[in-house]
Amino acid sequence: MQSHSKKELVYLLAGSALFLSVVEILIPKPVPFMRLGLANISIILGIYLLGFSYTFLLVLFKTLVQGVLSGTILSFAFGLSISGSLASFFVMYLLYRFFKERLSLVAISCAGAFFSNLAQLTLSYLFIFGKASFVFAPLLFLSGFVASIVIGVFSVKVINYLES
Amino acid sequence: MKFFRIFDLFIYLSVLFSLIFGFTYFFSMKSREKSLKIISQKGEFVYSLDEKKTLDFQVDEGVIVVEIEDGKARILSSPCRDKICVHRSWISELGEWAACMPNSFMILIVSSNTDGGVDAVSF
Repeated sequence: MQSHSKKELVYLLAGSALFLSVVEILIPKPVPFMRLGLANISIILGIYLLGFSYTFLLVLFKTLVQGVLSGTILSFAFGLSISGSLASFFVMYLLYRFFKERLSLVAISCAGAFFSNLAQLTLSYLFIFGKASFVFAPLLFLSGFVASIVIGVFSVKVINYLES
Repeated sequence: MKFFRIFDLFIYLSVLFSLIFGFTYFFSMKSREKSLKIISQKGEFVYSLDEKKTLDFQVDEGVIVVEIEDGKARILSSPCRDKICVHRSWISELGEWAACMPNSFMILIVSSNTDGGVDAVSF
């Protein structure tokens, strides 16, 4: 890892976020908004390897790329997407910043997914779907919980590989 | 880098507890109260579906009797010729209706809470 500068790592992680976003489009969604969130592997790696400002750029990049690729960049879904991404990023960054000795990245990923879903549910309740938001919400939160643990385990595996 | 540290349990448990608490709270609120709307030549009336009762309405050809029972309603008898409204039998779901055209009379199930919303959004 010492051979890479932070700037090079941003490019690498942005590229992998782009790639993972494309892969994610291939996966069918049983319910709208039910996503695996593969690109968040890059975000978690960014939080671990890069620190706040670079990872913040990475989050914006990831959200934009996902909006362009899935064609939702000009629709309300993009607002939900960016609010969820930012909420989960801030929560994960703060947890990592203050509790990195105590928490594993898997739990941080889990908290991030929870707050991403919470932010999107709140916005969707206030501005778009109203009470109908709660129809899918339990399903989304539960699948988000499972997916976030998978994503967290992946990220830890990648970090272990990088550092071995 | 470890997969699990003991404080992780705190995160997992607080996430799961807030989910269980939040959703039991929201789904215990009755969000879809139904009531019966009656449209006649004399105007529109709304009745609760909870209490059992029989209502008589004076219309052009005579009297229409509407029966409400156990959250459902029907037109029990009507003076009209074809009795289509009577054969419609019980209605109980939102949007269901029965109408007696010759007498300009209609009953339908509507939502009690008036806050509307988006029916469908494409994305």
